[in-house]
Amino acid sequence: MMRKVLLKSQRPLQLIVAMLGALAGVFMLLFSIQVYLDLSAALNAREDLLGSDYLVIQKQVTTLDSFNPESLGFGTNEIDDIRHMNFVEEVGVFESSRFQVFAAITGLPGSREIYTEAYFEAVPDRFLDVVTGDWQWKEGDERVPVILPAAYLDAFNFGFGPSQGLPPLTEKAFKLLTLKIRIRGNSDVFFNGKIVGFSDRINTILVPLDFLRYSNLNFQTRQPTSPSRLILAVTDLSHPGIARMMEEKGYDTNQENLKGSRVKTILLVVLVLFLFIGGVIVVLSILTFIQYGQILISRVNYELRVLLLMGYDHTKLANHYLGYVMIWLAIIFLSAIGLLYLAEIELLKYLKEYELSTQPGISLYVWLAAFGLILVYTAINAWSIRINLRRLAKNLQG
Amino acid sequence: MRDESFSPESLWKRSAILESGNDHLILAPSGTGKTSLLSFLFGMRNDYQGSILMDNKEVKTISIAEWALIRRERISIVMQDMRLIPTLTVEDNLNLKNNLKKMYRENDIRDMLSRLGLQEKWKQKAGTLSIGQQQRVSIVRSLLQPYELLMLDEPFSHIDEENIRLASELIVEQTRKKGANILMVSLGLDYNMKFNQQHRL
Repeated sequence: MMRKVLLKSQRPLQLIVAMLGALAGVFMLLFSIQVYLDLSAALNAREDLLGSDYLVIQKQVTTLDSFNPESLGFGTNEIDDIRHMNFVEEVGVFESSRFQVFAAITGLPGSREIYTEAYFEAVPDRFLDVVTGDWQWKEGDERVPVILPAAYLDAFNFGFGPSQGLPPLTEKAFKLLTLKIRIRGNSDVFFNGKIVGFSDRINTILVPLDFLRYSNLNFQTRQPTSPSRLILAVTDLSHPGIARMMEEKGYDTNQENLKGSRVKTILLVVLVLFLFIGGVIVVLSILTFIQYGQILISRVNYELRVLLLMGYDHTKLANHYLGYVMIWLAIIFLSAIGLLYLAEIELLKYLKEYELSTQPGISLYVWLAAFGLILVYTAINAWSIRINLRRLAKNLQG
Repeated sequence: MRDESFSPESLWKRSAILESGNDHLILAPSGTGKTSLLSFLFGMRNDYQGSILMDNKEVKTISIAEWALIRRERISIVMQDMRLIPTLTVEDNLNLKNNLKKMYRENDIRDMLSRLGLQEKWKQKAGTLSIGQQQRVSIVRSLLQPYELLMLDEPFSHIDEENIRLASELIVEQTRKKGANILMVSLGLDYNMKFNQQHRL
């Protein structure tokens, strides 16, 4: 009977519209959170879980750099800053040769020989992705281990080789070739190079750090400059901070490396956008609800006054209304959760096509957010209803 | 209720004490503010000058929650404009009141109605009743609670003589049963009811 009185003026259509609005906003908010969590987890799962990720960075080359090559180097402060970024575990500096060096590969089929001017670089051992017991060099050794970029092997087998009528070589075969090194510093010095591996990670001709420092010390023809490349050991290549740092500081790297980081950054932006839109919709729908409640109450002002004059307590009447609001909220949130489950299933299917996978089901954070939203809706509506009825109770003359 | 004093115009602008244990009649020609007076005494309005004390407490300072309690248990009222809910039946209108303290059973309520000649109106929507019938329903409604004081504002204006007699009998009987008193405001008639104190507005 109370229902008859309190809800006398209910307009189902208005209520449904208000509820749909709330549903849209709530779903949008919750789903954005779920999508972000799913995608992050999926992307992370692809990374090497065992070790760090590695990233080689250099500065972007602009026309001005032609006039000031120094600007392409990383200063000590700069290196320090990078070292202190929270996603950076270690920073390795590329040291380069400061002398003229030529390399010749002999022993190719048909007695062919490849001869080229080259350059050497070296990084601390721990950054190498080639596992070899053969990487030592000390002064006096004539034999110098060398690591070539994996790309060179491909270039030989699929580019240079065919163009010269040379058959493709396996990694193993390549390692058997002889590599003659001629350093032209103040005078000519010869070494025997031994190719001990191919690196996917570092795209340069690598020699042991000891050898490079020795050679620079003894044969250098120009002064040391600040390093132009760094290798970073990072916690996670897809950390959004990486893309941000590259962007802000004007660093360059193999674009492939940044994809994960860029994707995450874009994800974050899209997520924030959706959260914002969802949030706006939620706020608007709360206002719509409040307005609906106000109209509902104002339409039965007469009846409510009669009840109050009879001795009904205004807070009890407010709680009656709040009870209805809770029922509506329950419908909205249960529907939102239902929709979330359906959307989650679709999302997982979609991710699978990209060979990404993650845990099915709704994340705990989403549940927490839903709970938080319910509290907010309830609190604001309760406050509004109570205020309205209190105002009414103070003015019973009508 | 022990004490009530106010200084508005005529009864207003004076001081008066309405003591409990007495039935009071306030005679008030049209336009003298009798409805306003009852509005003040029932906490519906606060815009008076001077002071109204109920049990030595200024009526203006009584909170909303306290008023709700007073209206449930201490003061009942029959208003001149009756204030029934027109879309509800007589049954629902009366039950809305009775449900607060559950003082009467359905049979007792229907009994009271038939004493006033309204037995067939139980399931009828209040808005479809005549004014006289509505007044009688309003009177029955006011009796369905405990009270120390029953306030009546021109309760019989549309009721014929016979029904006035029946109604006033019912009112007095129920009020005595509760050990309570009556405060009636009327244009000029006492409807053959006995009052210990009379005032003018």
